[in-house]
Amino acid sequence: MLVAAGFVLAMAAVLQYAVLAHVPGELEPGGFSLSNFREMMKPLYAGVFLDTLRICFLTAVLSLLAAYPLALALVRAKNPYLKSAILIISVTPLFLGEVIRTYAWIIVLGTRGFVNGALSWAGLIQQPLQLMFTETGVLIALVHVTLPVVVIMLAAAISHIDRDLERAAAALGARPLRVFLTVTLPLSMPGIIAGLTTGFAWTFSAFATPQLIGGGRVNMVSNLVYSLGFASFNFPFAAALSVAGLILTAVALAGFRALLRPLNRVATR
Amino acid sequence: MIGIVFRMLVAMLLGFVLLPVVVACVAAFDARSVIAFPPQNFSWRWFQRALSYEDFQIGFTNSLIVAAIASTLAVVIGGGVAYAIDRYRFRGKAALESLLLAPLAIPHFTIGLGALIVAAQIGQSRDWPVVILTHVVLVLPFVLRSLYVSLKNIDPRLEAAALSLGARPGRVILTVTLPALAPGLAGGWLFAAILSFNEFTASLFVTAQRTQTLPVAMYNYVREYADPSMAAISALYILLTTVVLVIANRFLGLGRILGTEDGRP
Amino acid sequence: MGSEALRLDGVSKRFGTVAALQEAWLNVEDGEFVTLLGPSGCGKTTLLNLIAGFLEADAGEIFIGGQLVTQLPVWERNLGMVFQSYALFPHMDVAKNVGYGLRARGVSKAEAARRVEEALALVRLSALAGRRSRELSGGQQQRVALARALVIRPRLLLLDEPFSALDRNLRAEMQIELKEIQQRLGVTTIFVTHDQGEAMSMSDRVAVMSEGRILQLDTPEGIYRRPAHAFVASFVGDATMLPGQLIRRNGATALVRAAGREFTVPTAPLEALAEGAAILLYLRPEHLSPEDEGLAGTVASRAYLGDRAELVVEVPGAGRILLRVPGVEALHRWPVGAPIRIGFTRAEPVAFPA
Repeated sequence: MLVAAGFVLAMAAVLQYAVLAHVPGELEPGGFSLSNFREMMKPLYAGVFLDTLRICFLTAVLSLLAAYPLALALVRAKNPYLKSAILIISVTPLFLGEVIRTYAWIIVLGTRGFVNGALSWAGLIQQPLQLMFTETGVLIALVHVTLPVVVIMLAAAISHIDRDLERAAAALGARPLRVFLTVTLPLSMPGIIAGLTTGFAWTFSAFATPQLIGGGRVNMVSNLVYSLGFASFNFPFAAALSVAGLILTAVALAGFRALLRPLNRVATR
Repeated sequence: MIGIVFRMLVAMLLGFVLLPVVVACVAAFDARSVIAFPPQNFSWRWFQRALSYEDFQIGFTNSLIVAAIASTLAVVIGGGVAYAIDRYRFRGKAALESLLLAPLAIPHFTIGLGALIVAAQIGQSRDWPVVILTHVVLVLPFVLRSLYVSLKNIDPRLEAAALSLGARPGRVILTVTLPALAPGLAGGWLFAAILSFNEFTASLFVTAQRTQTLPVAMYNYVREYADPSMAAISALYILLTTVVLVIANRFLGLGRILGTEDGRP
Repeated sequence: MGSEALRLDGVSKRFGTVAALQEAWLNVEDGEFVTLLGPSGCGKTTLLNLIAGFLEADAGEIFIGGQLVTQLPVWERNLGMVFQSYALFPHMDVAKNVGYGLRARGVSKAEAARRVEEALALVRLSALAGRRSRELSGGQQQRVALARALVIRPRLLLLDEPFSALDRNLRAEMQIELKEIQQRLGVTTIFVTHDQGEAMSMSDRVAVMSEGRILQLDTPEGIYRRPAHAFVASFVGDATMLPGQLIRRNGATALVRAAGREFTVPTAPLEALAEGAAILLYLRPEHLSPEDEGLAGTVASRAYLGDRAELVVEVPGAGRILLRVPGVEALHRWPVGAPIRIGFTRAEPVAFPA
């Protein structure tokens, strides 16, 4: 009860602050005002929202593409040791936390990092590639962060597919690829949808990755909220941005689901 | 043919997942004070530095305390709520359930911001109760889900059988329901503890210097220094996590906790 | 026989708008083996759960051993129940499972150990006391469940389709074993099944149920030979139904006409009918045989079952009649298409309103 109350209180506080005015130099907010939301329409902030949506979408799709083969291999591996190995390797990053994973990517992507070191050692590049502080770098790290959850969701869906259906398709003369495309893939649609939406929501929530790898040049809503809160102490505007972010994710996810619903219906009919 | 291509693809993807982990571990042993590849001169010095760095020590202790308390609270609360929701009908049940699962859908920075504002309003500084309560809110949905699955998997006839053998309801819960739930409770607790131990974004908002958790300490370190101490602590962290996961997989069946296995052979 | 072990006085139970059980009346004597028989959804499991106390009756009273138990919680009813899935506690070994009810009753350790041993000996599982339930075969799990239910010396033993998960041979073996144990202990038993063979072979009396009602409570022989309802006649055993008319009633018997012949049937089911009213005549296949003076037809199909064969005979103007003949005879004399005459001299026909 206390937990539920605390949570409700916190969310109510965010909502309340979102419609209060910011008094520069003061921690206490002023009176009721919608100025926060007006401020958000400025190109600077609107641009961050668009960037965030694009990054979330790309991360979700790329994670899905990378996660599917892993999930399939995980569910279908016959050797129990191989199965455990795939499970532990693909799930471990989930338990490493965002900071360590982001840090690891910094030393992979940095100017003197692993990728540039390996490429120049191989004589493939003269100048180091700029990967840090770019959207590509942020995307790579974000996919790595999101991948494990998507693998788990897909594997759960794939493991629920009755193998007799695939056997039946094979017995009817379908080759493995056809069995996959006509039976496995459509029947795993619930997992695909869950994976995409979760990947999207998780990416939206990401903070350390865009903060450290984006380095201020790639900004997401989370970074903006943090810097407004802790650099400018403009809590009302930070709260308003959070609320707008929540609404935006909700709308985006609803749109996602609406788009995917026909696919799902085909799959489960 | 497809089989070979598929296997190579899976191997590459596993490589992608492992790459940063391996790179961080390798970098931790480089003697130079700025990370660069390829590494040179093997050294343990960054491990010594990381282990003696005070912020990491304090962060580690804090994280352990917060994770232990928050996950225990979450399991106790989650156990009661999951049981009530699974077995009883009551007013506001659906509302309570969706309320407790809601933090799954809300970004951690939003929850952190909310907790920070509330703490300021009720005059609590960024102290332990705020940090712990925030963590409970964040991990509770995962505990609830894991316990639902365990509860659903208990054959209700086991409880019926115990009742028919003359056991009172309280005794049935103690001797049948709880033991049958034990793997779920242990798995849920472990899962919650790991999540809490790793939680960063919300913690960044609600912790202060004195209460900062290990991820927050590490984040601050990355922002200020570039030496491989961070790689060293990452390597230790990776080692610890892998050991915990391998053990969890052995004893609890990770696949079952995460739902990637059907349970059926 | 002895005194009353179980009595149901007009017990009813509804689930929403569905009447799962309508006014069940039942008297079971001490030591009796009574089976609740019926198709799925007939209310037999509901009735068992009401007796056990897992469900609360909407109306009526339940007495166990003369004590009113309608409001008594499950754990105070002192019953032994064996579940369809056995419901063995997976986190306890065999001995702990069997001893569970004794511990719940506060029986002393030594006494409990002795009784568990005794119960395991009864079901011939003494050697497996330390095993976990998942290490046991289906038949062994079944025996553990039975021992667990019996060790508390229950006033009633309730069995909910306990054999449905076993294969055919094992099932037959367990049926015999259960019946022997039941007779040796003299424990009053209520057995639920949809398998008529099981019901007929084990029970002292059978209660045939359909759509929430107990249609007939009688000995297996009474159920089979003197069915009180058309449903009972068709659910228990095989029967051919022929349409016909009631000619007249003569006290306990009545005369009916079907397939151009007259048959003498019990009057009871036809009590309310006017003379000339339409009836359905039920004939058991093993009571019919080929006879020279019989009803003429041709063999439409033949199912050879070894010791016997089942013939479906097409009789012009009457329909299809099922009869059983010895297997050897069927092979040689009654191929499909052969002319045959069906005789009724051994028939024990019954008729119900159409």
